Amino acid sequence: MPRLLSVIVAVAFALVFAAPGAAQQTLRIGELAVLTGPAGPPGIAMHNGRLLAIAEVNARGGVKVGGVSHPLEMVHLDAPIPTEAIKAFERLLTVEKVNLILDGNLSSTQYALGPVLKSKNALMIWSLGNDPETTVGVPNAFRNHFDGGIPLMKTTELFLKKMGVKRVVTYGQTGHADFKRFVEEYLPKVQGLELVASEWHAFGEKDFFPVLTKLKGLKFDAILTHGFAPDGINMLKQARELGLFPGPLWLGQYGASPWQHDEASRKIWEGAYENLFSSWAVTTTPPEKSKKLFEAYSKRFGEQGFGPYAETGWDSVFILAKALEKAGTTTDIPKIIAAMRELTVQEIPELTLQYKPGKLFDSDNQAYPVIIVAQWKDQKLVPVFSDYGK
Amino acid sequence: MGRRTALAVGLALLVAVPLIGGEGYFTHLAIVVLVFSILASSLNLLIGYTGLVSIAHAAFFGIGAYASGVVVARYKVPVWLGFCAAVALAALVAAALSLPSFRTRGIYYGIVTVAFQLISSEVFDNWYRVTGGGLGLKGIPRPAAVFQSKVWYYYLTLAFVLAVHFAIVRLTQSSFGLALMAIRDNETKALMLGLRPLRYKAAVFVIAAGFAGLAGSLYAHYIEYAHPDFFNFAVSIDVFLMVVLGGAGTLYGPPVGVLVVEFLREVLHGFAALRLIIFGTMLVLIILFLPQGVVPASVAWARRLRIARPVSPAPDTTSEPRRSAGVPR
Amino acid sequence: MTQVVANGLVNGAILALFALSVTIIFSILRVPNFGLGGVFVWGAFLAYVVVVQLRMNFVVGAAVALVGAALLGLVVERFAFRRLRTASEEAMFVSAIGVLIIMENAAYLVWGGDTYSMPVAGLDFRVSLGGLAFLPATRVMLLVVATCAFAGLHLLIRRSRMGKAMRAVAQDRVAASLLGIPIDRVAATTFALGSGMAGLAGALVGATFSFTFEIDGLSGLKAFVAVVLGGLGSVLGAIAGGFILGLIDSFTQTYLTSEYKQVVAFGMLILVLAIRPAGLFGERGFRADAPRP
Repeated sequence: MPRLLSVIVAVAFALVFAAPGAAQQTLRIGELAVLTGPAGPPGIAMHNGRLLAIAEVNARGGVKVGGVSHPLEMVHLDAPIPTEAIKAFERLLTVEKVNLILDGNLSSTQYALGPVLKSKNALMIWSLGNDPETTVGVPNAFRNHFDGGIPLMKTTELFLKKMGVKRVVTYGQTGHADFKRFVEEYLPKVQGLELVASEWHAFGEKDFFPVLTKLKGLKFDAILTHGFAPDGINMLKQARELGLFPGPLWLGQYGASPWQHDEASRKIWEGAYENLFSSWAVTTTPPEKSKKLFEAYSKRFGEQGFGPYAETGWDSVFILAKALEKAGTTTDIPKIIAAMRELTVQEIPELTLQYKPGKLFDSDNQAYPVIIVAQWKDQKLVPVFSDYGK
Repeated sequence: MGRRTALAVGLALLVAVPLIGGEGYFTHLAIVVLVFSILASSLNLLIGYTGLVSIAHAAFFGIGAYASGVVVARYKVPVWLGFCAAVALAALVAAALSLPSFRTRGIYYGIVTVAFQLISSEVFDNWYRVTGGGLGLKGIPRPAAVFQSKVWYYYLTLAFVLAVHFAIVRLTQSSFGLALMAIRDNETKALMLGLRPLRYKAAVFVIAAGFAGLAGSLYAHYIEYAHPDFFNFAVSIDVFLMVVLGGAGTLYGPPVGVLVVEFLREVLHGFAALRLIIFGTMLVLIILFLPQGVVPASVAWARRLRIARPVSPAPDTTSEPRRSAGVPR
Repeated sequence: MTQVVANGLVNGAILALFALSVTIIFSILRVPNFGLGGVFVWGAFLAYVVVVQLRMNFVVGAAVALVGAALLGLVVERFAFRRLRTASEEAMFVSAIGVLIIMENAAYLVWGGDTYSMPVAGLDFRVSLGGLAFLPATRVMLLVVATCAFAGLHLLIRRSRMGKAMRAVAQDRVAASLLGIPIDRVAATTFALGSGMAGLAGALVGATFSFTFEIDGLSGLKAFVAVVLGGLGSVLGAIAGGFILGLIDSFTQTYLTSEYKQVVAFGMLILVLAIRPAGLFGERGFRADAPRP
């Protein structure tokens, strides 16, 4: 009998002390992660950044809404292509029953999801994507970072002009329509920059010799390239072999980071510039917060694979958390949206990306972190220029 | 269970799907499965009935989708006209492709279709002004307000699926279908029998492409968006897998194949990188043990079950004379 | 212009090597082995391990790639294709796709999605062809090795006993087996040879270009196109097809358009096949659609 009694007492104790848990309800949020496919490496870094942020939030007890602490739990589904993303989105909504969703890094997915999202009682935060228009007309979509669009084009223009460039050649990957828009619609209208030639290659193209041979016969000050890093490296390597580089200013837009290449590959980049990121963590001069993020990342996931999009992932979680706290609800979507629109940069001290002080989101629900141009020196990225592009 | 009953049950199930799935995930999957079953069934006309291996089906899927999407989204043409444009353009392009490829056979023909698929993908990707390139084509509307509901879009798609199915049944059971199968089994003999294989091959290619174009417009107006990634080589391979895994040359093989592939993908989606390895392994295993596809294997298995079941002796009260085993019919 | 030609030849050499592996397996066994792309990737990674991680020279790396790929080919034949020998070509194609997916993603599991480069020690210089063209030494090496491989294969098929057996099986499998030729052994050898070539091609490509686990993608497809362009059943055709495709690519990109280069290349293929449906050097009487034995 005494044994049974002690068991009952123990259980009672456990229940009593677990009672505070009753005031804690886990809040599930969803993620459309991009973990496989060519956009996988950046997507994995973003996903990991979010996991770190969630761990941090939970270490503080969770998101405090209306006196109740909600630890966060993220349900993620792999969404490497738009069709998978639509499926995953529907699944998150109806099967997993989450309506606060963070998204990965494909603009095509964001376009595809726009019409679907509009009609649903859900909130999405895109943490990348190359076209601001993806949120226009979709009031429940927000974007806290981008890798394309007018600001990038403007910053590129400013940088090139600063470096005294007059004649420009472009060589980009065909699938990246934002770059196509830049080359065909934006560049021709820029005063002072002449577009000498625009070339294209398919994703996975190994042999750039033929086009580089053609370019060698032209006179230009700078070459702009855009696509996925493996192609970029091959292109630059072959440019060196052909004697085309060093020579003109080489500006790559790949979001490449030192931790996503092996040593031999990093050496190939030497001297080239890179401007497809807003992350200070991948450069040689990271501010304190970014440094801490990198250390936490390395500790938990290792250094290999760290990239410029870990920070935007991290930020997206804190942005959502702050909006929930201010709105005072985890279920009233219109209220949360209103709170999101009122967020200021200063009230979210955990943000690692650098935003202009003031309201975080503009009237189109877009946030614009500064765009950094860096140069590869000694296998590291040294920042040389930055601008908001707005 | 008689054939009629089985079909009736199947139809009832199909109609009941959105009642279970509502506006959610399940209905979404079901719509996608229906669209792809049109693709698979039409590809089956080529692979299963005529012996023409085509890896260009996604290209026609895309031509249909973009055709309808562009005329409706840009030029505000009514949606039903868009659907017609989709079918017409896909058929036209197929007819044009038939001309240079009419003398090729076997794997040469297959490679011609691959070449065409790659050409189409490049055009979808690069013809930015028309297709939107990598940004895709936005603003493709649902056919009407009522179709904003997934449930109703499902029924719309189902109607088309049944129509296509009916058409294929009639086609394969007609003399046209017989001619196709004759060509598949031995083209030279077919020629000697007085058939004109080239005409039939071109005709069936155009018909199959037309159906694919129809599927394309259905898909584009559902997703309200079109993108080159929806219509690339990998998708062509997917449709091919669905046909062969389900059972090429059978009527119900392709839809079963669609279900098999989608089911595999759903089951595996939680496994991340390992998922693709398992998928590949399952492909190999399934085809190793069921090289003719799931449907023929199931039919054979069912037949074996029926033979194994003991037959009860006929009652003695009938006036039918008993036949002994040795009496010839 | 010389540079353009040189570019095309180098590109063509890779395609030709790959096309050769495809043609060997297809001509002799009628298996459309799409899975060779996977072996290609593994060839590159095997060479990488040897050259960069074990710090041995490239020749060893290439040899390991070749042998390793050949062994992989044996495994693939035994488990993914042997049973399907009497099945339809489509069924074999499905199996090949499965094999490709498995191998590509196995490489991803082991080495991840990062980009790898394999600098070949001692070949850091550029070769100048009379000042008219520049070729990195690695590309020249690629051409040299590829040519040796072609020659070696040709000798093997024409002179050796196994080569004779392979040719017999290619012509008529039933008759060959009736003559006592061990089909299983021929199949295994064919796969080993074909896969070995593909692995070697992978190692060469890995050394000349940077690569990831997805490197095979378009190459595998283009190899099939090259084979068909040259004509099935013809080793010479496969090699010719590879070089021709490489040259077309080079000329198109440098002089015409880089945007629509596939339209041009594949458009030409369709035209060629319209005029010569069996490819440029397709053997007369070799019926791609002959009823399966």
